[in-house]
Amino acid sequence: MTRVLAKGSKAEGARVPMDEPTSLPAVAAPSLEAGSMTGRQLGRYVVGGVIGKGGMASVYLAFLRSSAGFEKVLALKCIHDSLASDDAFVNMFLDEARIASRIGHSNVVQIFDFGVDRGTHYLAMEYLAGVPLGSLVKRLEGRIRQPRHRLMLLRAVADMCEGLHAAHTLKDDEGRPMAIVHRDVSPQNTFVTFEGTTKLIDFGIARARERLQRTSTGVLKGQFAYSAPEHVKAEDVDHRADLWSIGVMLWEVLVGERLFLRDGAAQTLFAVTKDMIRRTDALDPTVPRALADVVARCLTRERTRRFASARELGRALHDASEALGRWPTRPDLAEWLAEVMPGAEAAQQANVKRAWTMAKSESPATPQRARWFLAVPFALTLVGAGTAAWYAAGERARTDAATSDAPASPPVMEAPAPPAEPVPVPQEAETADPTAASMELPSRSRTPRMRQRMRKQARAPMASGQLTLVTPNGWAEVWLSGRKLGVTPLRTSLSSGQHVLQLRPFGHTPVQRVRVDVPSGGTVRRSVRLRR
Amino acid sequence: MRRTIAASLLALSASVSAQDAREPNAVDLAEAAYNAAEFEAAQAHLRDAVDGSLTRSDVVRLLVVRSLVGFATGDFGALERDLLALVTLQPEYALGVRAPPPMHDALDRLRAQVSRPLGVRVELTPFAGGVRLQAVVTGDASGFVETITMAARNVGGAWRRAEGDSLMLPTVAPHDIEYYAEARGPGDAVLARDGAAEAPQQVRVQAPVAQGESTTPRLSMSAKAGIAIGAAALVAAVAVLIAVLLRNGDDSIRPQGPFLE
Repeated sequence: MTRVLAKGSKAEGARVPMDEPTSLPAVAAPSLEAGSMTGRQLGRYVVGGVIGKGGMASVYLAFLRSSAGFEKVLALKCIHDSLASDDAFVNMFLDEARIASRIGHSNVVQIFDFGVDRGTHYLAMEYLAGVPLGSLVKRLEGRIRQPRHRLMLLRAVADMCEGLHAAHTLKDDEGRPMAIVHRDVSPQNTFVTFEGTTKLIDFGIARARERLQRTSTGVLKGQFAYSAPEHVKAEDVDHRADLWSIGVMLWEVLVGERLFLRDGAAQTLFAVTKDMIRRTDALDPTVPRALADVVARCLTRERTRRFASARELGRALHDASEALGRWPTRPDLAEWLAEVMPGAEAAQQANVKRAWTMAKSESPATPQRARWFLAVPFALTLVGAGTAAWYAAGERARTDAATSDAPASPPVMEAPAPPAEPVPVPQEAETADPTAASMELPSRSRTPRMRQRMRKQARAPMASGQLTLVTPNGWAEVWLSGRKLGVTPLRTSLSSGQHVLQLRPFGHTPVQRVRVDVPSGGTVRRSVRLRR
Repeated sequence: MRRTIAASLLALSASVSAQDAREPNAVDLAEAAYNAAEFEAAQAHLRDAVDGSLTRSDVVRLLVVRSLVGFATGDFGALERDLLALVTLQPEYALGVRAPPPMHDALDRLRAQVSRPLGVRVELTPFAGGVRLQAVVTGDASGFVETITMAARNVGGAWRRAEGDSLMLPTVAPHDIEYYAEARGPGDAVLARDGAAEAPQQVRVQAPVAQGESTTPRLSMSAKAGIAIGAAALVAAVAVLIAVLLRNGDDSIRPQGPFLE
């Protein structure tokens, strides 16, 4: 349900967006797929694959290009084309850039640059190799009460408090407080890198007094379950609203359950404003009393009784955790993360390499429109060269069919034919290309056949298309192979090929099966009447 | 898929013609495209609709279809705006069974945020030689109103019209005038009105009592009472102050100077 309530982009750094923490993938390495910007050059950046999508923007892996080639990996948030003409959205996007770029702190994601190129607004930010705290909590389900895990998570939260404090106390050029409130502090917006650094991300709805533009609707856009009571009641909020959110995170980390999340948004809102909050040490006697006091102080609905600052809260956390053991260092956190999320770092590295390949396999300096004009002669040249090589190797001429296919779909000439069996959607980066290491070879040392094979391997998992599905006489859940794709009406990406979808009218059985054939790069549209 | 759209359109035109024998408009086409899972086509028709000519009920349907498409395409910002506009237009509106639970939840939440429905009212301020009419839009939480049109006339005279939220009407008080105001939104649809061309509001304009003093008939009784009480309290306070000062024999604090001279 929070999909509707989610704000612009929930995709940033290297996280999987839009999901409730309860449905996060086991391994948080992002899936990587080609997007509309892949291969383009935006400003100084060459764009690779998509690592996250939200309602407002998509986040791409990108590379800062120097005269010597690609050098720096970063994340590029690009506002959707459909919103580029909407001034309110663009202003919100730019506000995020302006605010976040002023906060120079190691516990806040760094914004390098923002701009517009051929109508595409983009935000260049630090690429975060790591996992959201929410994924860690999910991964530790059933084990989260172990003191070591608790300590590590508390350390991560305490570090985040420092970043938040930097934002809260930020001043403008004339020394006036900017009164920044994040308003969406949550486990999904708290990122732990493989180096053991915690980063607070997504100041997309943060508000500063100096802010030039505000969201006009006044609609609450954060995740309710972590929003402060005064926030959900649409009262004025200040930095103490963020301290409440941290309190909710702490409660959940210590207890291992969701505090306010309910079945419906209204129930969640009610719970935030009215429900009794049980002390963590009452629910679990192993929680030190001092720690339970810290959480309780954050979760008081009278905000004047909360901590005065995020820094004070972070220090209190540190002091109250003494009873659990030695306060972890940053390397401790990094080692622990590697234990808890085995293979995640390697998977993300593989994704970076694959994104690099995607970016390089396109002509970065060539505008997209021009590429189509170049593609036909390029394809014909390839066919000619391939045919000559074929003959030279003593093969029999079997190239007529290939030649006749060439002009119809020139860019596909380098790609494999669609596989007979559907290619699984790349859900987790553990499925990343096993030949990733070979991609580091200098391009000149590769033979044409090698290059072609590598391109096939790089592109094969991305053969996908779009499904749009409507059920005009009622809503339905849509499932595929035991995985819930969403609810109707729905537009989603699927691997190309045939699939049998299961529709559950109004979320219930009996299911209704629908066969779809998703074309590679195309869209299949289905309107299905539910049997009731 | 074209067959699906065609079938949807056929069904649509059949139902439309059965209802009111009108041609399908852009909102109808958008709805047909949506029902055929043609989201891009639906969006194109919705854009056409906004640029065309719509009624208030068309706008409600437009918002519903656009929010469904917004949900499907993940355009949640636009979705929230449309749902907010929907509850400002029709606070009791209920989404049908085709809308999934998250949309119902969001609508309920937004409904709770909307304190009053969209409306427009006119305030009148007489001045020497005429009356000024000022339209005030209320409850426009979503910023949905695009334009205001107003018209006023002396009873029996010709309409004087204005695009905007104020209008000056020359008149010789006391005189009856008629007026109306319309708040318009997408597709130039009238979203809210105070009076109408065929049933205008009528009011007698009195001569202004003093420069700048409003004699708007919409000044409430409680406001008038408040002003009277406030004035009385001020007079009483001044009288008490003077009495206290005069009773005190100390010259040093007796009021001096031009005030008492």
